[in-house]
Amino acid sequence: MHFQKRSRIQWALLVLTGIAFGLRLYQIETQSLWRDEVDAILFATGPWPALTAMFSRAGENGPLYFLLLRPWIALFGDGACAVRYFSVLPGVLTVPLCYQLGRRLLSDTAGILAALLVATSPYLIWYSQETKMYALLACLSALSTWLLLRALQEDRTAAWIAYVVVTSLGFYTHILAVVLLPFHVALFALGGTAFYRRWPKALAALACLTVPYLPLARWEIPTLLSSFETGHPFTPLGTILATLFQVLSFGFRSPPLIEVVAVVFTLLAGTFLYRHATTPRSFSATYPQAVWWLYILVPILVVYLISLGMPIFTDRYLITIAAGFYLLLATGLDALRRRSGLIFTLCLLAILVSDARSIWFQSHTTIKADFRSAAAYYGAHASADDLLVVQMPYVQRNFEYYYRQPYHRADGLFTNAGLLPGEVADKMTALTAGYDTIWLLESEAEMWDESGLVRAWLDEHGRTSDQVAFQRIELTRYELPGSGR
Amino acid sequence: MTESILAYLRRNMKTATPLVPLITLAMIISSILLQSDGLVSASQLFQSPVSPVQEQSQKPTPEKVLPPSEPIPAKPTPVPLPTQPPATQPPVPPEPVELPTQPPQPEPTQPAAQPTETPPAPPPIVDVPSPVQPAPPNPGGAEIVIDSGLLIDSLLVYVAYAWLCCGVLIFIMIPIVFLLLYVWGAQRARNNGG
Repeated sequence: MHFQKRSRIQWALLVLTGIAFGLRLYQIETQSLWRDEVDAILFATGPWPALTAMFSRAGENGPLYFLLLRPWIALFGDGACAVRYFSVLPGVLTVPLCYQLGRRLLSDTAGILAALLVATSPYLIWYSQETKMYALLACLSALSTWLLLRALQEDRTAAWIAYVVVTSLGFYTHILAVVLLPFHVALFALGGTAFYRRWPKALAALACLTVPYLPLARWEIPTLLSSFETGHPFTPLGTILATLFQVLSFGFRSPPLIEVVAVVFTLLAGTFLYRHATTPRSFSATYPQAVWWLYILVPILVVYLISLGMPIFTDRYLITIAAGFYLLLATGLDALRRRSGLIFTLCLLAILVSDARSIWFQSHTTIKADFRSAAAYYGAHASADDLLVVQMPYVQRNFEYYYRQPYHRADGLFTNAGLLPGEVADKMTALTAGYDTIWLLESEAEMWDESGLVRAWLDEHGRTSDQVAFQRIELTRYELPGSGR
Repeated sequence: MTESILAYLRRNMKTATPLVPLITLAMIISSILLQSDGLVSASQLFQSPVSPVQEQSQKPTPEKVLPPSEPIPAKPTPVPLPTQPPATQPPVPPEPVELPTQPPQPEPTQPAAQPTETPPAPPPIVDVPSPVQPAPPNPGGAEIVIDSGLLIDSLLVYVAYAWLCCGVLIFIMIPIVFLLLYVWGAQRARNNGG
């Protein structure tokens, strides 16, 4: 009987992992590569010294992902599907890991529910389809926490060593992976007498974690003390919580009230209704929801406290808490299942339908800056003698990723530091000298030319002969009279 | 059949009744959430916001303007222009094209000229308060202004320093202590035996 149950669960997990894999591959190329993704390719394929310098350069998110991406690109090329596939793998691996986490503190059923929620999470699917480190970060976060639980419960030296190694890899994947450590300390404390005898090894692990962190701390601490501009606005704690709830529950879609109620109700059920039946040995075993809440809240609080001095909040930086969120949701579903089959079914259906709608939205709506279409349009309509002015110039990397032909390019003027209209006119005259046709490609132009002085000059001195808008991109063709070579 | 369904529903309703307060609480929280800024703005989170906010590692710096870089002489090839461009097109086939091996490093900005006249773009219409003259130093004693954010931040940093130091010390001390204990234990065993 027990064997049959285990076999059923293993099959269920296998099916869920397959579903996760399919959903992460579904429409993987719908979105054009955006700025950071092209940067990731350039970092990974850049010279070794530049790559290794990221270990010690202030302001870097973490070099490990780019290091791993390098051989991947060497093997499979730098096509959008190939580079994004690299994130699919850790994204899929997170599913069985969350099952293991749920199984360890809750039950097999709760573990399967957690695996289902992770497999269909629109947010995790989004980052499993992006050439950035966030899918890997979520995976390492779940793996690190699972290894810690295993080490604490079973006291195996191999688990302790694996915990130290995986957590250290997390540090080098993203600098904010370190926010997991206070949660892990709290988890140890929650264990109470059950984990009491493990303190020498736990302390040794913490000490060991310090050593690989030292190279990062060498530049992080001075940066933290300095007035380093992160470029992020300050976000109040309430907005942080609401934003994370939104993205983890519904991805990037604005949900209707009924879906929000279903998720909030399930979270509340997980918080208030679940109580483990037997083992009173430790608080964390009796009230696993306390562990999930700490998993969610401690990293958020750490990021918020740092943000008081240096704003750093962006939702994806806290993807480390994703496993905790879905485990809390699974706890709620499990608690409801025990009380009322009908309510459980309704909540599960509501969540799955909501996930399906979000996944559909993300995979059928152009959301990221559409450089692929812009480059194709330019290729079809521009002649080789035309000049392309890129505003802001940084996005020319994206354009050149999709447009791999010779062309004439000029960087848009940086006017945000107070460039005067007269100076703009002089520079634009010099910039466009010898060209009859100028194309202006604008994407995130506000960062460079907030007042639109470049566009204003072209509007004044040229005749608009074509204008087309793509997602987050505007492409305009101007005919300049009397500028011919 | 109908009876069994009704019985199932009745049984479930009975067990679901205690959940009503929780459902009510969930509805209240959901209403608050839907009215908060977080849920409204989350639909704009697809990539870096349009305002000057972006990844730390990829923050572009003002760039010196140069004449059109690398104008590659190419034979103009007349391209037949379709009357209606497709909205989306398949990606350009990956030809072996030279990608920049190193991300181009923006050059330092030119020293920004002090504005002497208002640019033609929307002029600032907000009343700018006249700059407040810094108060003369109080001879009796400096005024202490406590920035709570900075204070918490500094405290965190100090705690982090302490944690680092303790961590390193523990890392070194643990094997030493274990070694000492082992030597001491062995010595004691030898003494007892002898």
